[in-house]
Formats: sequence, C-alpha cells, structure tokens
Amino acid sequence: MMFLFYVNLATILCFFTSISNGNIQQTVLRGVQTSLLSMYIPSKPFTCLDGSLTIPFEFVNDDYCDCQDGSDEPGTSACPNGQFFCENKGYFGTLIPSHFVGDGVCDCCDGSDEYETIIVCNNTCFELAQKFQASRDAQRALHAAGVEKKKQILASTTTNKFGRQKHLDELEQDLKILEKELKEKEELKRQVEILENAAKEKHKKLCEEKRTMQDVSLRNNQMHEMFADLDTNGDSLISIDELQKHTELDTNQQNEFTIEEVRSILGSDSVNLNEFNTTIFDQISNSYRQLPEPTRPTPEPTPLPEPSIDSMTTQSPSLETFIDEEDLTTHTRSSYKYEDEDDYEEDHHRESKTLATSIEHEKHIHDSVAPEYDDETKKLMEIAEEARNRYHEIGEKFLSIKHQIEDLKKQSTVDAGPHDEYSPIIDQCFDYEEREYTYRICMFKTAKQISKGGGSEVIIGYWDSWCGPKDNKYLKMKYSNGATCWNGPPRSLIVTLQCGIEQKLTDVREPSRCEYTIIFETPLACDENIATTSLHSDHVEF
Amino acid sequence: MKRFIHLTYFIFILFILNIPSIENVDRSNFKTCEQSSFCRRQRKYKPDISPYEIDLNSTKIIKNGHLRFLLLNTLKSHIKFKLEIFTLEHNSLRIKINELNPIRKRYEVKYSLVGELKLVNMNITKSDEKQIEVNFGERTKFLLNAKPFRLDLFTNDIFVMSVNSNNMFNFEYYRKKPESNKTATNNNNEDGMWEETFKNHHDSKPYGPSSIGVDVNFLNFENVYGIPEHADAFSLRSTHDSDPYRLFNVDVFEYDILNPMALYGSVPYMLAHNEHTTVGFFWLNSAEGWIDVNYNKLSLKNFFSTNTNFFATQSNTKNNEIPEVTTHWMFESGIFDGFFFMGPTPRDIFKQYTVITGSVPLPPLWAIAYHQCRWNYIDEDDVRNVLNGFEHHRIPLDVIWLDIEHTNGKRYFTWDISKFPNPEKLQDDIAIYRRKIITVSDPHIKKDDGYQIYNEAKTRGYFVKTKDGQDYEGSCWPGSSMWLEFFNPDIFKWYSQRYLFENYKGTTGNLFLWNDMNEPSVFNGPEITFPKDIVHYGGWEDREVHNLYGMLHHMSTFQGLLNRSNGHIRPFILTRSFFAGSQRTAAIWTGDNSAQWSHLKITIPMLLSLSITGFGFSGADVGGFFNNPDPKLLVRWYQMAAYQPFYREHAHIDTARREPWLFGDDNTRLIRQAIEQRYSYLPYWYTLFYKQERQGIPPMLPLWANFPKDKKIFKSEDSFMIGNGLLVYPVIEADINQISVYFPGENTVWYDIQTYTQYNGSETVLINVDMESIPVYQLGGVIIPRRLRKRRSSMIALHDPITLVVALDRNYEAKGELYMDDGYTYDYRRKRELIYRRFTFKNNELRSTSLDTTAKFHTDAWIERIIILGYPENPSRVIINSGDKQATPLHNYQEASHTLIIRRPGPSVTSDWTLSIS
Repeated sequence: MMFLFYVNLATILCFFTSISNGNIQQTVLRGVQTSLLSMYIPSKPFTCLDGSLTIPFEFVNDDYCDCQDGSDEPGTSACPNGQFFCENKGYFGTLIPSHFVGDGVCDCCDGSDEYETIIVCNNTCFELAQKFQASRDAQRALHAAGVEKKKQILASTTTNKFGRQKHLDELEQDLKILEKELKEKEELKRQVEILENAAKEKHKKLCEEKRTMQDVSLRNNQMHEMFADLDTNGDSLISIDELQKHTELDTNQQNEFTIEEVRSILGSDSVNLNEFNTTIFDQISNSYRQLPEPTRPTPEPTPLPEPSIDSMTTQSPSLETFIDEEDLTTHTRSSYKYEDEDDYEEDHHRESKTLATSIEHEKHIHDSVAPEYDDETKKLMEIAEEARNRYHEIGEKFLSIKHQIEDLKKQSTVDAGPHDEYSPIIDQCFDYEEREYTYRICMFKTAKQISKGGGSEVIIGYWDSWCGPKDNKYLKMKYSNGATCWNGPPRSLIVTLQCGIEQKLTDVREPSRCEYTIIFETPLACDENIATTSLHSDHVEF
Repeated sequence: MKRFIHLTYFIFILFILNIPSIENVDRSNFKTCEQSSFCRRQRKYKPDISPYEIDLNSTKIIKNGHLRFLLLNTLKSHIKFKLEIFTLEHNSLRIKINELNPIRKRYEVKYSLVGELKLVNMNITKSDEKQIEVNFGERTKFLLNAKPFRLDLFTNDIFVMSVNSNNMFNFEYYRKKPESNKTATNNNNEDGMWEETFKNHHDSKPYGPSSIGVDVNFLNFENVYGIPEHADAFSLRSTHDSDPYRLFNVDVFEYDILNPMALYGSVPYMLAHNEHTTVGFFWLNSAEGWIDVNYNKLSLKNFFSTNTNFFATQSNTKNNEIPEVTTHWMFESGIFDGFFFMGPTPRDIFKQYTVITGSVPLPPLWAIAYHQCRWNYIDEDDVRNVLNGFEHHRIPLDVIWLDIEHTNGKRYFTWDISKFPNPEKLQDDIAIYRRKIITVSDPHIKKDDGYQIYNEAKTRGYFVKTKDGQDYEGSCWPGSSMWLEFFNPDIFKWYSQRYLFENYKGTTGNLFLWNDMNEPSVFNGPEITFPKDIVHYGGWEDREVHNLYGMLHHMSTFQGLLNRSNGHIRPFILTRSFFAGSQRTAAIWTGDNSAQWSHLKITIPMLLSLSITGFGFSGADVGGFFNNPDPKLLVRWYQMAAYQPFYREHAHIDTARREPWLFGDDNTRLIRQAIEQRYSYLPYWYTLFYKQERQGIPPMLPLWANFPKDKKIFKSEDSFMIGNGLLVYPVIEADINQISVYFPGENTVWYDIQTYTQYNGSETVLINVDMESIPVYQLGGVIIPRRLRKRRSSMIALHDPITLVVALDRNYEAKGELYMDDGYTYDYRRKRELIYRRFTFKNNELRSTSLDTTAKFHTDAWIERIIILGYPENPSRVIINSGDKQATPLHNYQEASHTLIIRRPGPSVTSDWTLSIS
C-alpha cells in the first residue's frame, strides 16, 4: 500500500473533484471513538493520529486511505488497518477493524457498521446486554459459591504449608525411632543367622557324607549287574567275543568293531570281576547298552519326545518373569540401605512388595530342596526366621515413612498457586470417563490415559509447569514428556482450570496428535474478586 | 531399573524388525521397468531397420483432412494395421494406428476429448511410391515415408518432430495363447507375455501381450517438458541411466523427489521448446506407460543430406550436427492415438492442446483464495475455533476443509454426529462470512451392510469386478472396501446423484467436494492399486483403462454438484488422481508431500509441468503434508504459494497443529502478509483464470512462455510467472540473505512490487532478502488490477474498489485486462453477466475500453487509485473524462522511484474513460 504525502494543501484543495465515486454519504465523524473526537475538528485540517501526514478535513471518511495508520477513514473500509467505533447504545461501545465496515456481516450490535449495505442488521444490543448481565450474575454466583467451598476445603485440609511442615516434623521423629529400632533388629537378625548358618552347614556336611556312601554302593551294584550281563557263558570271565557284541562301545564308528579294538579295551584276552571293576567298568559304563533279546526284531531307537509348543513357551521365560527373577535376586541381596539414597530412590515403589514375595520364594526353595533338618537346626531356623520377619516388618514401616517424607518434601516444593490455594489437590487424582479411555490426572504429578478395553495405561505427561498467559500464569497446567507416540511427539497435556462447585475434569480433546487438552473445574479456581464485585461498579451503559 | 529394561527391549525390537526410516518411500512397492514385462520387452526393441512399411497403394482419402493407409509388419506379413491421419484445426495433426482386424477390440479413450474434432483441408503437395507430402494449417506440413514407416513434421518449413526415425515402432498385436508354454520359455521376446507376478500379486493376463512402443523425436530441441505427474525437474532429465518416466496412477506413500517414479496422475503429453518453435506430442492412452528421454546430437549427413535448410539454426549445422531429443514411448495396451501440436508459439501450443482436451473452466472466485485444511478438524467446536482464529488474527480465509474423520467411520456421504451434530448450522454460520466448507469423498465404499450406499451398490451390482466376475474387495481407510464402477454410465449417474442435497444429508449449497484416494488407492493391492486383470464395464481390463479411474470419479462428482444447483452454480472439486481432460472438472494438488525445503523447491517444477499440460489450477500442500515444518519453512511456503494457483495449507494427522498464528507474532504477521498479498492480486488472478478458460493459457507459466527467445530461461525452475505481468522468485532456501534474480527479455524493465525499484531485462541481479521478502516483479508494459483494501474473504470484497498498477515499458506504454462477474454462478456464460475491460496506456493517456461490449454486469466497484510505475516526471495536471463528465483528481509523484499515484480518479469499473496526463 502506497501512502501519499501532499505538501501543498491549498493547491490540492482546489483540484479536489472527482467523477462519481463510492457514493459515500459522508457522515463526517462516523466510526470515530468518543475519546478521540477532539482530534477530528471539521473546520481544521486533519493530522493522522500517528502524526505522519496532515490532510484537508474533507479527506476524512472520504473512502480513500490517506493515513498510514488508517486514522483518516474510521468510518469506511478504505484503510486495511483502521478502527471503527461501534457506539452500541445499551451495551459496550466496541472497536472493530474498519475493513469490517460494509462487508455484509453485522459486527456491531447496533448495526452501525453496515450503514450502506443491503443487509439489515437487527439491533441486538439490548439482548446482548441482558445476556451479558445474566452471565455476569451467574459468574458472580458461581464464584461466590465456589469461594465458600474453597474456604471449606482450605480450612479442613492439613496439606497446606503449615500442616505439611507439622506432619513432616512428626514423621521425621518417627523415622529416627524406627531407624534405631531397625538397626537393633538387624543386629539381632545377624546374630541368630550366624547360629542358623552354622547348624545348616553342619547338616549339609552330614548329608553329603551320606550321599557319597550311597553313590559307592550304587556303582557296585551296577558293576555286578553289567559283569553278569556281559558274561554270557557264565564262566566269570569276560572274553573278547563277549564284549565284541557290544558295538556301541566302538569309539571309532567308521569301521567294524575289530578284535584289536576290543582287546585294547579289555587290555588282555579276558578279565575277571576284580579286573573288570578296577579297569573296565568306569571306561564303558557311559556308552554301555544291554543287548536286545535275540528273538525279537531290533526296535527302532525311540526318538526323543518332540518339545511341544506349550513346553517351549513355558520353558522360555517371558519378559515379565525375566524381570521378576532379576528383581528377586537384587532384592534378596539388598537390605534397607537407608543411607544409600540413590539405590533407594530407584525402586522405592516396588521395594516392599517384592521383598515380601522374595521371602516366600526363599522359603519355598528350602522346603523343596533341603532334606529333613534335625530338630535343633529347625529350632534355630525358626528363631532366625522370626528375627528376619521382625526386621522386615520394621523395614517396611521405615520405608513407608520414608516415602511419606519424600512425598511431603516434594509437595512443599510444588508451586501450588499464588496463595498456595491448590495445595489441597497436590497428588490427588481425578478421573474423566470417555468412550474409550479413562483419563486420570494426579495433580502436580502425572496424567494417564487408561484404556477401558482393558490393559494398557499410557502416561500422557508428568507435571511440568504452570503455562497460562503472561497475565494469568495459573490458568493452565502443563504435563509434558509422556510416552512418545509412534511417528509423533511425546504425549503432553494442558489442563485449564475453571471455577466450579464440584471438582471434576471435563472436555478432553486432542487438537494435535498426542497433544491433549482438558478442563478441570474446581472451587479452588474461584476468585474472591469476581465473587465480590459490586453491582454498582458495572461499566454497562444502559 | 524396569524402565531401563523396557527401553533396551524396545531398541532390540527395533533392530530385529528393522523398521524402515519413515523418511522415504518404499520403492519396492512399485515396479521398475525391468519388473514390468512389456516395458522390459519394448525398451530393448532397437532394430537397425524398422520392419514396418506403409502400402501407399492402399491410400484412401476418407474425406478432406482424413487419410487412411495400410501399415504392415514385413516380418509378420499376416498382421495388418490401419494408419489414419487427420489434419485438425489450430495446426494440429492426429495419427491413429490400430490393428486392422484384431482378435480382440483394442481400447480407445474417449473421455479426454471435448466434442468432435474439426478437420481442416489437406493439400497433398507430393505423392510418389516412396512418400507423401501434405501441407495443412498455417505453414505446417508432414512427410510420410513409406519404407520404412516414418513421419516427419515441419512448422514454418522447419523440421521439428519425427516418428519412428529410430525404428522403435513396435506394435504387439493380439494373438492366440500358444498351446504349450514351450515358446514362452524358449523365446526371450515372449518373456512375461502371458502372465507375470510382482511381489505376491499375480497378473493373469488372459489376453496376452498388447503393448505399443514408438519413438518420437524432437529435432533441434534441447529441452522437453510435461508428462506429469513426477516429482522431478521441469526440463525433463535424460533417462539414460535411470528408469524411464512412468505414467501409472498410484498412491505413493511419502514420495521421493527427483526420480521418474509414477505418482497420482498421468498426462501423456510432452512439449518441446526452443527459441524458434514450441511443439507438443500427446498420446491419448490410459494404460500404464513408460517414456525414455535422451539428449543426442544428430548427424545431418546420415539424415537429410540435401535438406539442411530444414533446420533453423545455422551455427550448429556447420558441424553437420544438431541437437535432438529422442523419446521412446511405451504403453501396455490400447492403440496409438498421437496428437502433434505444431505451435509455433507457446501460446499456440496451450491453445492447441486445450482445444482437444478442454481448458480449466473459470473457478468460483473463492476457490482461488486461501484454503485451510487439516487431517482433521475434529469437530464443530474445533472448526469454529479455527475460524475464530482467522478472525482474531485478521487473516483472510475463504474455505475450511474436513478430511476423512468427519464421516461416520469413513462412510462417505455421512457425518460422525458425535462430532458434527449440526453440519447445516455450521455451514450456514460460515456462509455469513461468505466462506465455504469442503468435505472429502473417496471412491472406496466400506463393506458394511448397515451402510446404505454400500447396500444399494451391492444389491445393484455397482462394484468393480474381478476377472472371475466377483465384487473386488480390497482394503482402504474404512478397512474392507469395494470400489464403484464409474465406467458404467448408470453407475456414474447414480454416484453423481449421491451429491444431491436429498441424498447427501447435512449438506448445503455452501459445501463443495474433495475426491482423494482415487488412483484408486488399495492398501493391499499390487502397487497399492487395482490388479490389472480386474474387469471394468464393457469388458475392458483395468490394464487398458487404469489411468482414467480417478478422472471418472471426479467427473461424476462434478456432474452431481452441477445437478445439485440445476446447473446454476459452478462446482468446485479437488482431486488427487487425474488424466488428460481432468482439468475440465477439477483442480488438483500434488498429493502427500513433506515438510522439507527440497519439497518446497520441487513444487515449482511440479506445478509448471502440470500448468503447461492443461492443469492451470493446481497447488501443493502449504507447509508439506508429512512432518512438521519449522516456522521459517512454513512462512516461505506461504509466501511462495501465495503466487501459485491453488492455495491451501494441509497437514497429516500425526503433525502438530500449524494454523498461521501458532508460531509467534512475527511469523503470524509474515503469514498474514503473504495471504493478504494473494487477496490483493485476486482481480488479476481471476482475470487470468478467465483467459485460461477462453484461450487455454494457464495462469502460472514458465518464464519461456512469455520470453520464448531468451535461451537463459529454458531450464528455469526457481522462478515462474503469473500471467504475463508478474515474475516470482520465491525464497526457497533455508538460510540465505541474497538471491540471484535473472530478469528475462531483452530491453524489458521490471518493477519490484513493494518498493517499485526498477530492474533491466537480460540482467542478473543479487537481491537482498530477509524473512519479509517475497521477491515479485511486475513487467513494464503490463497493467495489473488489484484490490488494496482488506476483507475477511474474497467474496466479501467482490464489489470493492480497484487499484490499477500501470507499469510502463521503455516506450512509456502498457496494457492489461480486468475481468469481473458474480464470482460463483454460470450467469457469466448463460446471461453474459460479466465485464471484461482492456486498459491501455499510450501517449500519456490511460484508456479503459470494453473487450466484450455485449456483456453486462452490475457492480459498484470503482477505480480508487491508479499507480503509474516508471513515469518520468511530475506532471502538472491529470484529467479524467468519462462520458460527459470530467474531473481533475489529485496526484502525487515520488521522484526517487518515478512513481505517479492518482488519488481517487473515481470512475466505475464498468464505464469507458480516459485519463490524460499533461
């Protein structure tokens, strides 16, 4: 757009004629806002409001854009950037872009922007004012009721800053006591476990001795059996002929089981039982097979049973069981390392649970594998078990308090609003039910999408920050860095807070793939100022 | 710990599945020439001597302008062909070659042609046993050589085109399938003739081989263009080291650029241009096609030793060598039906092609304004919020679009009522701003007995059939789907009636249509489309008609929209698939591009290729369909597309929102400015679209269309022109602060449209650019009508005043046109309610005269401002006369830029007037 700079106004004025034009019935001050009327004086040349140009007053609202800021044409659509003032009697006066003038759309409630178009604009100012009043009253009532509710909530809650600190102090006291107790229990456990282990060790040794003896006698039986079996002619000697039938003993399967090969096994032409026991038996016992009955045809070697699909799947551990076993070993080894914060933090959610199962597991292993213990060992084991249980009991209590302290500490770092008014909902969870999903927001913590069809739970965001507009930061909450979408961004959620009597989530949307929005209605968002605005301070001009 | 395990497990899964990068097309889904048996056979057909001969004794003059001959394959004398030659009006020639007595009728495309072609007289100037020479048209002639068969074409006595001069004409006649497959295995040439398999898809080929190959050679040319659609260079690249350019309508997921792979549409039409002549060759064939392009030097000694004067260029002929572009065309089926357009000028060529296939009809005004689209605007609230965004940010907008998710489970012609409970109300509310809504309607029909369209079509047998006569079932957006048989006129009509208000519930006259996925896209089909042995209406295989399917779909939609208003309101349809002739009923876009700078850049050659092959109403998704553009890329895309015919932002469902105001105030302003520029030039665009309807000249043009003799610009694809008046050099690189602008034309002068700075023709200038810059220049000698007022939508601005920008040439002269009508009905045709003005600046006088005195159109629009660029001095006085009225409007002269601005001259745009400067 080109703007003109007329220098010699006097000359211009005498040339100012034109052929038929836009048929503007000049209403000289049309569209000028009340506060600027003093700038538009019909008897004086007009200076564009940005000061860039002075023009004859006849150029004001003559349907030609002279001023760069559009200020010479408030009442026509000539300038792309001018402003038209709708007087809107009975309602608020408003400014609209001057290019809305005469465009066939009723933008002013008094219809003044469509003064020369064929469309007829009804005057809707009175209606609008009524609606405005009604909605303002409703807002006021809502906020008034909401503020009452908010006060109740704030009064009844202990989770404000003060309550939290008090609670924290108490818990820390408890923790100290528990820590001491835990150490005692650990020492006790350690002592009785020494006794228990010694007894078990002793028991284990006895078992091993017994087993060795059993093994020796077993071998002896087998040896005798085999000798009898090989000695087919019953002469108490095993000859080359007799052994040669056992081709399975041929280490070189390529050729025949030759006499030489048999002899190299026997070491001579024949052996007696004693020689067999000392030199031959151990050599052949692994490959030796009984000869089949000569009358029956040689049976097919029975194939190994085919592993069924079931057995395969049950054999190969699923991911879940794999993880569990790993956890198990980790946790059976671990103790309550309260001084080791890092390890502790890693898994603190599951620690106590898996611990319990690991103990059961241990029990199970002992029951099934170990042979019967003698009474003395059993008693020692019972004592040790008791000590372990005490230790774990205290340990769990300790952990639970530890977590509470962590949570409280975390909570006290949360920015819960300009007056800490959102304190009561810290960590509180709210659900929104939709066709397919439940949306669960645990305030200042996480937002999740839970499939109703069962199963999967997807994190759509972790608490990030307040993200309202500059002048109203606490209007919106942002939860970000949720699970990443395939071919998309990490999920995220914007929660808009709204004054409401009940606390509830409404209107979940997904304007872009995996970027969610939701509204949270809560009395905590209700505003004392709105609730108490006096009726007389209205700006509506009736 | 657990999280860690999951992560490694996930990475492990990625490894074993080897999930491909999402950036590129999976090329293995589409055939190479080697994998398409007829292309394989034809491509290697290169005999030293062509066995095809014309029996000149058989010459028969059917009527003046129509000759017939017998053509024989001397190696297979039992096969006879009939060759027909038609001399057509506008320097055009048609050659048809078909089997004389085929054992199966061969398919001839009829949908592409408009009406009866007009023959012109032939003048047979020479005829002997060797050849026949015929003059026709304006100094155009052909020479038909009998033994071997060869056709040479001349414009103004200059040898321009030659057919079969490389002996590649090869016509696979229909034959009986051999009893055993002995020959098939023994004979290499019969490889893949009777069946072929691609991936897991078997093509039964019940009729055997039927392909045709021919070489068409452009003599003394160094550049050929056209044969869309390919994401490739404007001046076609040699295919010597690649596959041939392929024409086969397919849905390519995340297509690559700079390769000859087929895309969504096909136009078998190629142009060649040099500084003397522009010519064109169009082979009307709807089967799968492949075209090789090679750039050669032709030794004249071996060619026409006595006729070197046929070639206009003297310099090269010293070496007895001229450049030549040899092209080898291969189609799987059908007949040879070649149109030769003899030019000689680019404008003649545009006319010649569109006389045959039709020109883009004048679209409704709003359709050439700005469109906002996304897959998907979720529900009515979302649509309203987006519209409010445009209001709030003061960005003009004409159309908002609804993609597939607005339907009830991808059942077209329905609404998801949970999201769109009251679509009529939504349309009525939008109509207050004279805006429109567009919904998508694809040709696949969800297989669901509860869906009325499906049920009715199923009962009536309206679905496309397999070779066994069963309804063909494939998968697309709704899952199991079937496809409508548009080739059947009854089904075509029935489908068109689905668009009537009583059938398409929830629609009003404010709703228009988008036909997507109509190649057709079949997710589980061979090459993501129909199997070739599908049998269409009339017994034709998909092999023969494949590339027509999309066109018939949108033609039927067009018919529906036309009937919806009893032929009163101009329809608007956007289609993805197209064929020659599609331009008569639909606009097209370049499909699923990507948010990358390379895709921004390739848009120019892609749109230019479409423009010169009849598709003057085309565009690309602003911002790129896939992926998220960074704000700079988005702004640059808005700036470029503001000067391209179809202007729509669109994005994939997985992308982040990208409405213009989501990238900070600065970017919002830059995007607003780009869109405002588009709106300010709409009077010019609309005039150009009217010219296109009348003369076939597309609005977006390669530089050579306006400066045919300037050899520097024959390959230009970083710039383009809008009409003959605006030269556009969009910024298409990420981080540059200078671009090199070449101003074409000797002795021309150009004006920067923002600063009015002057530049001289035939000069290259480094222009500084920042994010504000959209380098656009108005040619001295051209008058451009603009609307510098701002409005919310184009239709609201219909009667707003006009500013004339008069850019003077070196002789202080200029001319231009303005076309206006009601912007949306056919009254401009039926009642001649239009104005068409000519503005001429000469001898210090600017005149407005009517180009169409029988026309009338009432408008309050008036001339509010005249800007004269390149005016040498401050005049003392400006007088305007209109009828018996006279006035002396004010003026302002800017010394530095030599710009004269006349304030409020005031005449109505409908009146004759003269402005005199002294």
